[in-house]
Amino acid sequence: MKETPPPPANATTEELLTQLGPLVHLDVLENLLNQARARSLWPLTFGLACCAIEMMAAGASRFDMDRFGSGVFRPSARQADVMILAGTISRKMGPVVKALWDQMPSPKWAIAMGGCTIDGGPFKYPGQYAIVEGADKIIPVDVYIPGCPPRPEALINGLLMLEQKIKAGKKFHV
Amino acid sequence: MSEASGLAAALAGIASLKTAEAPDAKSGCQGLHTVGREAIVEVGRVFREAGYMLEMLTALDMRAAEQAMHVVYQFNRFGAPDRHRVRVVVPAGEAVPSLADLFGSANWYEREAFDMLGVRFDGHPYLVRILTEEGADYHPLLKDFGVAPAAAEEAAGG
Ligand code: SF4
Repeated sequence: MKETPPPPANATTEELLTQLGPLVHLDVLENLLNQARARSLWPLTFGLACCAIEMMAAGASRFDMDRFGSGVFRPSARQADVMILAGTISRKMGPVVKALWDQMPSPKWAIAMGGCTIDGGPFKYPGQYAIVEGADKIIPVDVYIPGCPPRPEALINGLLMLEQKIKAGKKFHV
Repeated sequence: MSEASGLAAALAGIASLKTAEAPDAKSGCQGLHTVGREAIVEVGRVFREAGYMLEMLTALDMRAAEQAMHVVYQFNRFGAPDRHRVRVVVPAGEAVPSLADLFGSANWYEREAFDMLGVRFDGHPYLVRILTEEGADYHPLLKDFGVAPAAAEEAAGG
């Protein structure tokens, strides 16, 4: 283990905390919380284009996202903790998506579903006027699911990958 | 039948309206007309009173060939096929009277034509862009439109 140099005598409390890290470690509690978070992902109810149809199919009885605890679509951004970006983000919609993301309380995650949200997909060409070329241009994305549209199985797989990521205690977006 | 002839009579009363003799079946229209832009509101009223709806409104960029924009209106009704297409030739940069007071659907169609092709509509209650991003200063469906600037969000670095 690396030795940390002692803090300077005139360091403020804030500097001390930054250098020494938190005084109390709640790893066990954090892990427990993460297990709970991973198994009860509440997506925000919103779709942007054709991919949203597959997202709805994934939520309906045949594929039933609820089996993984992630079928409780919330109509308010303030109750949601995962944003499934399902569809083309038009330039006009971009600021709205960003505002919704900003309204979601931390911890929160984002899934980019389909070619459009990965890099603009079929609507991308040099000098295009219509779309935002990829969701990660406006918000931080955790999981990318390729396809046009991805099948419901792919979305479920993406959710399971996100669960793994959360259980592994990856950093939250604030 | 009397309804249709009533429409024909009312249309015949509009001086600048010219009707094509036999519309091509491929056009999908039973009537093709051109009219001066000052008469378009009158034409709209005739169709409105005959029970037609404004099915479509768009514009064409004909500036290269004619230094003009064409604004195209399509009227239709339920029942027997009877679709009419009316074309208005507008010198580039000039405005057309709005049909928004007559047909609710014209409101958004005219905003779209303005957004995409820069055609202005006189008397429109709220002629602002409808599809392109906020703060856009281009009309992307014009033939000489080149390359769009990056999206505002992207330019701002998210
Ligand atoms: S990726 Fe394909 S299916 Fe999904 S929103 Fe884009 S065009 Fe539609």
